Amino acid sequence: MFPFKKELASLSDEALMQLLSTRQCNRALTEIHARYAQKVLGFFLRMTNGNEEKSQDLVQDLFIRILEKHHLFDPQKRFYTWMFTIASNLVKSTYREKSHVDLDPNDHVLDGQVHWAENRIDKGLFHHALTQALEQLEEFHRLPFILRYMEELSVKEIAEILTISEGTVKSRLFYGARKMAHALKEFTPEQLGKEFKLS
Amino acid sequence: MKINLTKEEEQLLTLFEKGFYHELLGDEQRFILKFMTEEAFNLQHELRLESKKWRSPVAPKPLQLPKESNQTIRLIWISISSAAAAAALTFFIVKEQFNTILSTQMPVYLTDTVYVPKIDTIIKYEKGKTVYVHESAVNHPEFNKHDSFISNEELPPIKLYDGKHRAVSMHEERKEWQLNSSDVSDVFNLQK
Repeated sequence: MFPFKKELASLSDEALMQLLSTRQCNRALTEIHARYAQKVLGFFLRMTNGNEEKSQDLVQDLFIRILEKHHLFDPQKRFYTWMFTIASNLVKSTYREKSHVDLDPNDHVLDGQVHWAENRIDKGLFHHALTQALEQLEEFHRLPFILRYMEELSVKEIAEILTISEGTVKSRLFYGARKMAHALKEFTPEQLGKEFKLS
Repeated sequence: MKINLTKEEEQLLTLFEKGFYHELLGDEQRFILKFMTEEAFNLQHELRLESKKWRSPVAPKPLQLPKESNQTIRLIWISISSAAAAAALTFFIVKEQFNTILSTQMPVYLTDTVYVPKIDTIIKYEKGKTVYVHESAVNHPEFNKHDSFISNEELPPIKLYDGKHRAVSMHEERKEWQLNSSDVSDVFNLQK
């Protein structure tokens, strides 16, 4: 007997994935969408520099791909990681497209006229600067950073998603964050000059 | 950009994720100060911490599920047709078995055979004789006149008429009627 809506909500992600090969596929996919659409929309917004239209399309594409490729999912592995593997591939495809809209980080160069004098006390201002700093990152730095610090995936999972070594992930996290720190140097004006004497 | 970090860089990365400068142990703080200031370290930690707090300001659109393809519809149609055919076949098989059961359960009425005595009709033939019938109606213009009726039989006188046992009555009559030897033999041979 197929589970009802309430029962679907109590199922694990992996159990829902198994239902995708049954007649309950639409309901199972709707449940997965309800769980993660907001999360992946945030991910896509971050990766497309806040392009909402493109991000919404990517969310749709992602869930359609989950439905189409569900047979490739290994139930022994975590669904969340697998979903972000597809999401990352979608983002990479988007970056490869010449026609994609407004992904040029130069359009969002940190505005030097922002009132940094208020410093980090103003969290809203810091968030704004952080977002812009993130948008300035190259895709290969931004993707691991978002997966690690926004989606809270482990280094091992990120390595699996991006099909790179864990060492490379750590390296990208380290240097990506360093670039962001430079972009946010106004928040520590007198100190940042002494930063990173390592390399 | 180096592909792999040095041990110190890896350790710094771990500490960036661990906490603010003042939350770390003394050894860790001393290690950090070899490479950067407390403020720079705190910025590194803060940008990571604040990134976790970021939430999407817009809601996702409802999921638009793909329409069922023709292939799927065709498969569904085949399934339904097969199911209907199977159901019809099953119905007829069951119906046939039901009829068989009914027919075997129907009561059988046995009828006794009734034997009734059979008596042969005895007819005696004698030498032919011409009989002429003369009636006035025969001469009527609309009357179809046939050939004269010729009978070769000499009928015995009727004394008793019994419709059911006509032969018996005739037999009884013949007893009175004088039979010659050939007649007697014929009668008894027939009765045998």
